[in-house]
Amino acid sequence: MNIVYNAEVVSGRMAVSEGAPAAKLVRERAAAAVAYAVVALGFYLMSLFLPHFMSGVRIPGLPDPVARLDWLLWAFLFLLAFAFAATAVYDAMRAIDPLFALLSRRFGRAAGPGKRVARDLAYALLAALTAVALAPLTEPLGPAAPLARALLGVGALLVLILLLFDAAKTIYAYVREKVEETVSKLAR
Amino acid sequence: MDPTKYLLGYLLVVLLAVSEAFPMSLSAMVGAALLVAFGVSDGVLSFSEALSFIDLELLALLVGVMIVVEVVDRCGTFRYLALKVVRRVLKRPVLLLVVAGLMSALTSLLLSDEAALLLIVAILLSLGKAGALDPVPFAVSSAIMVNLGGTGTLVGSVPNMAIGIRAGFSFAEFASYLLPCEFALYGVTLALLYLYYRGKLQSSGGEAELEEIEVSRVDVAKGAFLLSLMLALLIAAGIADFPASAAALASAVVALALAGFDTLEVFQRLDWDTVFFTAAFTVIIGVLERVEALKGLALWLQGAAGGSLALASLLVLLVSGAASLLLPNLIVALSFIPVVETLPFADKRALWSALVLGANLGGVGLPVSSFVIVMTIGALRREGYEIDPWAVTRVGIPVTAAWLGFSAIYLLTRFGLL
Repeated sequence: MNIVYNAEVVSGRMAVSEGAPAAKLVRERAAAAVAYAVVALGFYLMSLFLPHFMSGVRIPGLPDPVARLDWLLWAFLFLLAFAFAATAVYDAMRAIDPLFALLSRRFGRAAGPGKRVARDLAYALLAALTAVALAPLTEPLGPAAPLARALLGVGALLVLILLLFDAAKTIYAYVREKVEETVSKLAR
Repeated sequence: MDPTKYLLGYLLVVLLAVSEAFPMSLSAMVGAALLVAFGVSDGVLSFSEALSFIDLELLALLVGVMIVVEVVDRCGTFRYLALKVVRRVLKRPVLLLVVAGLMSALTSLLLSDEAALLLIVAILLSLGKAGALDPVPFAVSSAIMVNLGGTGTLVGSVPNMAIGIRAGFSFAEFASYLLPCEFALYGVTLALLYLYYRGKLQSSGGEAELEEIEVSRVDVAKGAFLLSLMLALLIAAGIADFPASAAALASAVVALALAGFDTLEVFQRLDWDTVFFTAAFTVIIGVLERVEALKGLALWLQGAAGGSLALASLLVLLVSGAASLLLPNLIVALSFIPVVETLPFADKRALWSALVLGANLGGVGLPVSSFVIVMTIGALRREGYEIDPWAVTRVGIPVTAAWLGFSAIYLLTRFGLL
């Protein structure tokens, strides 16, 4: 049986119909996040190499660094990379709600705000400690070890940011709901 | 050695367990895997050493008792006796409160808290359906008494088994230190519950028809015999100086052979979550002991007690009692065992007893601290009864305070610490 996740209204590019199964939403949003992250990495790598081919070419009459064609190309590619990276993070964040619905179904009852925040903190701690535990396993990789450790660290950091974002969002929604309840009581 | 990451691993297990992100067993296994990985990479232990931290004697006792209790439960002994007793007192609500409470506590001496509660609450709810009584005060009282039950014997709860084995208490020794306190607490608790619920205890009783249960008297007798055999063997283990785990396993073998139930079905019904949690958590505590991560708590207790056994016992009681308000009892017990072991007192009977009381008695203060309270609220709501969790807290907090206060006086007098 598929559980149906009551999705927030999604507009624009990767719109997914409201009420779609949680597993489908997670798959689509996670896939979108990975795809945008790969595109962002591509543009970032291009921003490291392509501007060198333009070095020395200047646009007359403009001040530095705007006059340098290599800088302009770097800025253009970097902005594109940044935009795609931001989109990837946005999609990853939107995957969290249906992911929690799935996890709740897999491991037990649905969580209230308190438990959800505790779970966010637990998963964040798990991600950080797993990265610490796995770091020594990169030693046999020799020269590639620092890169592997960096990837491990960045991965853990991303998970950490996403989970802390979710915890903050849950606390905000809970407090806001309580404040609105109090205000409407006072207004009566 | 900086123990921070090890302590964070411990905190992770607590968070995973308390937030119910994973089942208890998986939470502890994740934590154990991380801590062992840290220990191996830091060169403080090997993998085989980590495996040796698993307390096999404790696991044997746990599984042995679980098998016997499962077989006895299948014989219908507990349900048969409970129905017999309830029928006799149905028309007298105060007596019903006392009897239901005592049955809950005594049943949970042997059954798991959840199983004991389901047994009693099922009977109370069927009485409620028949219009014989309002089951809310009786069910909440039973849940509180279930939490209390099982404090006084070595096999009454998993924390007791863990503490008793590490303390080296025999079954009889354990009971002689703690059973009088448990029985006295029954009186204290029932008096408090009566005072709180006296206006709400009503039972017509006359028209109620309890469902008949289909059990043969032979099976009921078989179950009673197997229980008696296990208790006799556990007592004999203390006298003849052989491990309680051997007595429990021997009883389990006899129970399986004699009862004639499908052995695999009995095995499937065991609480493997608790078994694997216990195994993994003993590894976690073993690693924490190796890196001296719990030393801080032990030193603090030692400093605060200032060489006084009485003060140290009271601190162990209160700190473990406060911790078990928020954490599962088994986590509290397993975490405090190494702390008590390192306290510099020659005779630690009072300290171990304080830990048993603290770990068992903190459970009803808050709805979140006791699964049986949550279960009771859920069962009552499913049947259409209105119940506010905080109303349960209003009973639970004074009851917990009374338990801990009475236990403090008991410890001081029982062990001559005054």
